[in-house]
Amino acid sequence: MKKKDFLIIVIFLITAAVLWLLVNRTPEVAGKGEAVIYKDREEFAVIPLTADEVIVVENGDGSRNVIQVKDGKARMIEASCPDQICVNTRPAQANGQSIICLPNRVAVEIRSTNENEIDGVSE
Amino acid sequence: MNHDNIRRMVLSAIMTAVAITLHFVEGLFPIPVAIPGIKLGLPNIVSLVALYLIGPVDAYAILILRVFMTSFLYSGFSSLIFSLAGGILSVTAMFVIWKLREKGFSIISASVTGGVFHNVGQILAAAAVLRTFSVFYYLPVLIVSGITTGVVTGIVSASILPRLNKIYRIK
Repeated sequence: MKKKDFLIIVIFLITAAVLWLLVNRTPEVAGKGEAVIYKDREEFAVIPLTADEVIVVENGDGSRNVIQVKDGKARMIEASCPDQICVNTRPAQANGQSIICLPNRVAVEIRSTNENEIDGVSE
Repeated sequence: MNHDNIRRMVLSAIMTAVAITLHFVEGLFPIPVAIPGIKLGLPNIVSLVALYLIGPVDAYAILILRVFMTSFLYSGFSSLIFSLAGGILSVTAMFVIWKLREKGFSIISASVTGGVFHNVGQILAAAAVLRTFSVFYYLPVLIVSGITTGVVTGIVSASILPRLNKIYRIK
C-alpha cells in the first residue's frame, strides 16, 4: 500500500466519524414518540414522551416496577427484581429503544409516533 | 473485427461469468457479522480488475451485464435497483481513482473508494425507494465496512492483476 492509499482511508474514516457524530448528536425531538409499557406481553400503558409522569406497575405476586417519563426519556427508577438490570439500563428515548425487566415481565419500549419510519418497509 | 477486439470481447464475457459466479459464491458464505447488509463485495474484484486490465468501457459493460444477470437469476427486480445504483456509483468512483493512478493512488485506493461508494449508492437507492432519510443513520457504519471490504478486495485484485497482465495484455 502506498502513502496515498492510507490518505484515502483516513479521509473516509474521518467522514464516517463526522457523520456518526452528526447523526448521534441530533437529539430526537421530544414529543415525537411515546413510551409503551408492557406487562406480561400486553400493553399496560402508553405515555407520550412529552409527559412528566410516574407509573407504577404492580403484579399480583407483589413484584413492582416504577417507570418515570420525563424530559422525553423513559427510565426505570425502581424495580423489585433481584438483578436490577432494568434500573441500570440507560434511559430510553429513541424509537425502538427499550428497557426490559425480565423477572417481572415488564418492558418499556419507545415507539415513534411519526409516519414514514424505516420500520414501515416490511409491510 | 480485428484480433484485439475479439480478445477484448471474449475476455469481457469471461469476466462477466466470473463476476456472476462470485456473486453466487458470496451468497453461499455470509460473513458472520452482526450488521445486516454487509457483504465482502467479491464481484467488485472483477469490476476492479476489468478496469485496470481492459478499460473503463468494458468495466461498465461487465458491471451492467453482471447486475442484470444476477438480479434475474437469483434475487429479483427490487435488488436490481440497489445493485445498479451501488455498482454504477462504485465503478464511477473507481474510474476516477484509476484516472489518478499515475499520481500515487494504487489499486487499493480504487478498491476502497469503490467499496465505500457502492454502499453510498445503495443507501441513496434505499432513501429513494423508501422515501425516508432515516437510512442515512446507517451511513457511517457502511462507510467503515466499505473501507474494510475495500482493502480486502483491493489486496486480492493487486495480487491477481500482474498475473493476468502477463497473459491478457490488451493495448
